[in-house]
Amino acid sequence: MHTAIKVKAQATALRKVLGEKAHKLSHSQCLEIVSKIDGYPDWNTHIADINKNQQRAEKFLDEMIEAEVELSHAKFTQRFEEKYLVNFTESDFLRDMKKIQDIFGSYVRREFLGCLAGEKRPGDDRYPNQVRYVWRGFFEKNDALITVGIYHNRDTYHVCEARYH
Amino acid sequence: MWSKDKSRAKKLREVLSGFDLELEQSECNEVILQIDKQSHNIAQAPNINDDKQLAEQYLDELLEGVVEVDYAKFTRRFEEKYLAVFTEVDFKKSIQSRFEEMGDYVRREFMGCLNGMAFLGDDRYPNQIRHVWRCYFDKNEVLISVGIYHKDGTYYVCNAGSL
Repeated sequence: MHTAIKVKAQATALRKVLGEKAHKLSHSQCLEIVSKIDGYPDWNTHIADINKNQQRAEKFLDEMIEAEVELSHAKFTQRFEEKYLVNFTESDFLRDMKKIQDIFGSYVRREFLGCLAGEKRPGDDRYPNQVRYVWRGFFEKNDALITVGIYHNRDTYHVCEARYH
Repeated sequence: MWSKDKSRAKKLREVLSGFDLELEQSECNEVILQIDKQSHNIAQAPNINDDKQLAEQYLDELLEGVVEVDYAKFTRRFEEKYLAVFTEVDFKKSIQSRFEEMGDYVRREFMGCLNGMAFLGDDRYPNQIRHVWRCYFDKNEVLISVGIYHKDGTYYVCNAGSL
């Protein structure tokens, strides 16, 4: 899983490396090749998937930030699988929100930094195909590194991690 | 060569043959390594500055310390007074368990930086900047953050670890 900037940079690099070997290809051909290496049929499908995934992550994070402002546990956890919420009750949520408010203050804006694969542990298949999205969050008092983990299970996208570091 | 890169190189060879380009597998292996290295530089070009180069150097040293299980190397950029809460025993214990989960280090991509946290009355890490990388290990990808601050003419490391 890469960002659009990263994939375009890979295509630019591929064109340069092959050019040095006297194989001339256009940038669009290199985008197609890089997409196929990553398992996509073509560049259009690849970029559409990247955009869709990033938009979904932005939307889920927007919902969680709204939930923080409204102090709504239900809204904050709406994308989590219920079975994993036993250790994150409403009082845990309210305690965390108080802590976040003390350390970071109110949310101002964010910048997307990129994404990475979620950690895999042997025998743990709770979060299949998890991708972790990373932002620099600007808050009133402090910057925070925001991570949100999203996985896909039975046709639904769920959140498994939402943290401020 | 990393197993994921090997399979990408194999796929590259297949795809290129569809473009009437016949390359040896060894050439494709080299191309994959090159595009990962070069694309990182292309994607990050606007961010390259002295601070980032210093952070890359410090992270190299930290990773060497981890690979060699060398506490002195790992902590050489930390202010000594803060090491009382991070002893050699703590270091060995923490890297052993993390190593088992992550596997061997492969490569990394710089993602960006942000200001370190500042609290009223806490001036331990003045002007701290946190640098963040996507690190590829054999078994897992890991988000790594290293804080660097400047004090009395020296740059120090704080809050280095995986997130």
